[in-house]
Amino acid sequence: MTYREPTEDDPLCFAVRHATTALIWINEPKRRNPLSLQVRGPLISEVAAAMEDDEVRSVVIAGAGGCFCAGGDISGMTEMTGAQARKRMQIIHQLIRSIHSGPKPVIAAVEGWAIGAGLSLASACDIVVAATNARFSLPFGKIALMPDLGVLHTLPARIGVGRARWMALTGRTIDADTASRWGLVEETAEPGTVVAHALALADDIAQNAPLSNTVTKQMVARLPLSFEELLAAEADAQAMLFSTEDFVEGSRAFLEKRPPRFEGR
Amino acid sequence: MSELEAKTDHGKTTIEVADGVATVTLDYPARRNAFSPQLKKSLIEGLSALVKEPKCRVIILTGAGGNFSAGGDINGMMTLTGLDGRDRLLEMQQMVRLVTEAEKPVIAAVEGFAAGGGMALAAACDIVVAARDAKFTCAFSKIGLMPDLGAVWTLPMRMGLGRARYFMLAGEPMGAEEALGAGLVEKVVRPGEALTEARKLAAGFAISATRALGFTKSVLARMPASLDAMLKAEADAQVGLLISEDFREGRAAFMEKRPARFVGQ
Repeated sequence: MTYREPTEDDPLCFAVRHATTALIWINEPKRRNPLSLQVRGPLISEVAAAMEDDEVRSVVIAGAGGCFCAGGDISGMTEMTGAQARKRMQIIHQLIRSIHSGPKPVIAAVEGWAIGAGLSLASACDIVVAATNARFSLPFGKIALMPDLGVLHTLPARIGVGRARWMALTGRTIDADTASRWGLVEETAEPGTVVAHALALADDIAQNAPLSNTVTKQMVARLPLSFEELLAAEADAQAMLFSTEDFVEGSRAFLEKRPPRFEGR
Repeated sequence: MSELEAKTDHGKTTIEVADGVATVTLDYPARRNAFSPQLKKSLIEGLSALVKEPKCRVIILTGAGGNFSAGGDINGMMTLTGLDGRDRLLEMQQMVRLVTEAEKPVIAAVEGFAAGGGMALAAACDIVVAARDAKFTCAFSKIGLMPDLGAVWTLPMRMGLGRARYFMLAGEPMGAEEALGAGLVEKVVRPGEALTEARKLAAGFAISATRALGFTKSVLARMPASLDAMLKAEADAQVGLLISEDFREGRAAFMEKRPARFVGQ
């Protein structure tokens, strides 16, 4: 799919609509797109706006200039009291919560680096599409911090606890091939084509019933549950979906061997 | 299909027990072994009996006519209300509950299609053996539903969260080799040989310490749990095994450097 690369004249963070997908850019390539204070506000509000907009069926988050996100803005972290730092964490947690538990599927389009909080951001997304030369690391320990933005939850759930501990404790970098085998990356693409791939995938997902996507995503976000708790939740949620117009349309289209037209009702 | 045919009950489950191994065959090849009311009922009754039968030490689930199962019967769902759908699903969940609660290994032997609920039934099994040309699909969202029969629990447990979300949200079929890499399948064999391979595995299980395997399943089925909760569960379960007949035999055989002869008690 075609799209316009951001330029220096664009804001540090902004959203563009592609069909039913909201494409959200982090746009400070000179500094490898850090999650600076200036980026956090608009990133939180663009994700929240996409989650609330009935016209939007999926979300893609990308970094400008061939890099996803180099993590927190270390230069902006110096003069802080503990209480101020805590407040800052709570604000950025809104973003992770919204991506992880919001109603729309979110795809991370990772070109280049996803480091530290940049990896946390990618890992919180439902699906990660990455360039074959992308690199991932969690070097929080090298600046005397622990991995944050929920990555100690989202990463073990993707790659298993042993590998997550290895990444968090060593801070070593893994490549896209390893990330793919481990389950951190679901789809790889040639460098420079990741956003196009992510938009195409977002469009495919948007063809499926929107309420199915929402319920599936939000049920997965409730994990971990016991098997019994999940079966009970599944019965209630599926009952709601059985009574939607989209289920009637979907099952008719299936039997008539034609593509369904879903309205999200 | 005519109205009359759609209303007529078809399909069954056949069960054959030999040398401690029960082979349970979903048998409705005309509809790729979809869960017709009759098939579902006979599967639940059959599994319920096998779970309690001490002579049965391992269960193989397979499908007749070159397919595993096409899952739910969409014809039969068309006229469902939300509440009917919920009742029906609560009843169908008994199939996966019996598989996970059985204190003996359950092996899925998959040829051809394992789609929707059929895929979910295979994923609930302890071990999945698949033919190289087998296809797994999770396309519930294409008819406006969410994945059911526990797939939202079993898939992330097997594959990790990222891959499970991709599989559930994109709805694309997965081949046997890819399923092997993702952790949905444990062994890939030549087409036509899934049942043969499953029987080889089963023969080993049928002469092993069945209660030890059952307790292993039972403790694993409590996941997710804290390490402390798992340690307590393990302590309770291991005490039972330490005073079992098979442990006495296993210990003696180890000391005498001879193969153990386990009776499954």
